[in-house]
Amino acid sequence: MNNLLAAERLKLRHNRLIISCSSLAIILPVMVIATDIFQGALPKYSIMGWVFRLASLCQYFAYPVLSGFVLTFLIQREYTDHTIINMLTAPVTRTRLLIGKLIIWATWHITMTLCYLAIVCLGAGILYGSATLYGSFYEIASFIIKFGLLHLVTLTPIAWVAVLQRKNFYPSLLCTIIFTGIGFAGLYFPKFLGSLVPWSSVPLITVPGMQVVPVLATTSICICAFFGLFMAVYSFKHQDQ
Amino acid sequence: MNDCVIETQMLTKRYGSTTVVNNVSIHVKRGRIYGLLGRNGAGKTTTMKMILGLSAISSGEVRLFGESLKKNERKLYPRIGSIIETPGFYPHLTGTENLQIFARIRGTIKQNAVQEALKTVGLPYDDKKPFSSYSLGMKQRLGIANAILNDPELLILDEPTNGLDPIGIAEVRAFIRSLSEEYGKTILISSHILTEIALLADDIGILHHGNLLEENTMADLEKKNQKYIHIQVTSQSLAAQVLERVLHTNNYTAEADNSMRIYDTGIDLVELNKALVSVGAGVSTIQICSDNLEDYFKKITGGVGIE
Amino acid sequence: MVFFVCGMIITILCFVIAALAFYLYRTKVQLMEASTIVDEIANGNMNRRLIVSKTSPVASLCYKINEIVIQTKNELFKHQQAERSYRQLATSLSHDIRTPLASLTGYLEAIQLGYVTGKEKEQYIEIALNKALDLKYYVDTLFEWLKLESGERIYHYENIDIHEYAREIVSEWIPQFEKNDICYDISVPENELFVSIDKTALKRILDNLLQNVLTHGHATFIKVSEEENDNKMAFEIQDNGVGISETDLPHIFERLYKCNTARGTKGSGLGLSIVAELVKGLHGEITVKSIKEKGTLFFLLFPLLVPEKQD
Repeated sequence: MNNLLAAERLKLRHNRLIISCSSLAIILPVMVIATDIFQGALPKYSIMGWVFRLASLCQYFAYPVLSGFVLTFLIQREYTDHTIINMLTAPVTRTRLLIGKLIIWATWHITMTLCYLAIVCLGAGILYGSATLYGSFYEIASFIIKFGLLHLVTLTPIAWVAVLQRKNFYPSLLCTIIFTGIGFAGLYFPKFLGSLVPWSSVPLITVPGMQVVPVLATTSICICAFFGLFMAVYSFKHQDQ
Repeated sequence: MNDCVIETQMLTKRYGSTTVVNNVSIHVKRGRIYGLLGRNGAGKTTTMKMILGLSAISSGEVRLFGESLKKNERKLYPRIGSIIETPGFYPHLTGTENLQIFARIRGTIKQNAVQEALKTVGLPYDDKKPFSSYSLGMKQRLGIANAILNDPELLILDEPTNGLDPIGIAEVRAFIRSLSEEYGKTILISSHILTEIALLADDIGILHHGNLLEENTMADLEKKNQKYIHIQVTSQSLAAQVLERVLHTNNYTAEADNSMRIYDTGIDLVELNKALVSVGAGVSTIQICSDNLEDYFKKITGGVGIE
Repeated sequence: MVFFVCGMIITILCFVIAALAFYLYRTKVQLMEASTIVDEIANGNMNRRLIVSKTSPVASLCYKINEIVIQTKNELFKHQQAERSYRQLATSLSHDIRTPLASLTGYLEAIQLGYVTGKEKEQYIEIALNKALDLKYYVDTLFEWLKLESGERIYHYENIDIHEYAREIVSEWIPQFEKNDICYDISVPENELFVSIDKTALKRILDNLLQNVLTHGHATFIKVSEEENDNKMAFEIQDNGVGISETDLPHIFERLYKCNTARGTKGSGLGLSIVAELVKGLHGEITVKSIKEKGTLFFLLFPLLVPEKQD
């Protein structure tokens, strides 16, 4: 596994898409925060309110889409470059190959979430002062990390689609956008339906004060994560090249 | 030690109701070059993919090095080097970086394996040129370098000369020959070009519409391809004298079991027969052997032939 | 607090031990796998290699074993190749002797059975004799070549005037050139130059090359030159005959190699390989250039040994 991850890391050298996705994920919150600092949007929101407002732009929309992009790209590229054949004839099981990819993707996703957390903390510190930030740091961090992780696990079905689509890329991108759309629309879903659909459960369960059935939401998120993972591995294992 | 490095038993591949490969049983013997000949779409690539476990087998079995491929992949893959379809590499990375990636995943046999593999195929080590700006010939070479990275016992090469210019083809061909002759590798190679296989292979299997029409040694087939008059006589010496004195030719050889080959095919058979009989050389066989390989393939593929 | 710290330390220790155990186990598995592969190599499969990850603790060991196996294999291969080529040689030789023998007995049988009488009979006897002589010549050549090949030939270095000797060898061929309507140009320096060389070997080399021009060249002009420069002796034999095709050219010095056009016709396929062996024995070099239908040029280079250094 070590070698596999090292190889995956080597593949990412001089990789423009990963670099642009990463920079986009960093520039976006920085821009928003910079505008806030210049306009002085302070009085309207409390610190948590400000974090939620920022999340609705970055974590609801941008991050899942970028993450979906990266995952699609990691998998689909092996098919378009025909490298999949060289990979599969290596003495590594197919499951490990796919898991290796997913680990790289998860690492990226988590790193980006942590970067985002750092940026938000920095912004909050400038806007609200360090004292306020200290007071609500735990709340901010747990919110952002929880949101990021839940997004990560509900995106595993994208891996499945990416395996099935081989050289195409639009099915998985479409799926990413649909999942993101559902996540956003879920805020207006009735309580039960919102908790049933995994992608809408993520914001419902993370943002405090939402109408949600916690047990149902957690279950649906778990099922979604495992289903996506299992199907991706299963399809990859039984795929004809 | 099992003599067959690759052995497939009634290998079949079906996609829905269409059968792409039908009951193919090939036998690739240790240390030999096996040429899989067939037109585009005859099922060569699919067969190779099944042998490599890239494609699921509908029915039949693949045995590599005397072991079933299924469940033994991890043990068997290190012993095989392959190029299937176009050589696949990461376009934004250099050849060296690409090989380093695969060396990392597959393990290596020596410290500077990547460097040596590149040297063997004549590509620069640690240069700045990304794979995407490689010429087709260089791409194919890198594919070969990747295949021989771990000095494998078995090489499976799918149309390795496809798309190369004549010089490149000759180079690759010579290289494959040397791999077999000097390094004793077993090689399975596919091609849709008859001459390609004829020049390289020791054994040949002909695939046509997914069926293995013939499996034979090249030497056997070549016998059918030479142009000469074959005679069998009771007295070689008398026949030799007749050839020289009456038919004025020195272009013949005396073979074992009283047969002779006359390479001067301009000789009239009737005249030859008459002359031989007149001295009592006792002719029992007289025939022109001029079966051309190409004609032969036409015959067995039912008239369509191979490009 | 103490409990907490102790707990932490114990947990960390447990992790370290587990990691070490796993590491040990992996190394053991790798060694066992390597051992089965080495067993297979010991059983004769020299193509087997140990494949390990660069970072593995057994990597350098495996690399070393591989190196030894590759070396052994290369040596083994050389032996096998020599053996194989000797077997090929034996088959080839029996073939080369059978054909002229068949022809020879053919003529004798025809005489014995009374197919020919009188003058024709005389003619037949002459042909048979010539064929027998040819065969003898072939067997002699073969013997000479075998001696060369096995390294049994002993080179006798003598002090001779090389220019005089070269002129002597070539002039013996002049009647043959004239008989075959070949114009010739011989240029050998007039001065005396004593060198130490094996006379018979040099004569054999030049004779074989000139004989080749006569039998296979179909030339109308031949140029032979000898000169000394740069502490080397250089010989050039050039003709304007049929030349050697590009496919044949790399193989002409191989034993028993006959160009396609020569199959079944006169020629042992040994002449040039004898030349090559002798040139090697005299520490010289031979190169050939040829253009189809334009002619061939053989170029010989020998080190100039001054008489003092004789054996």
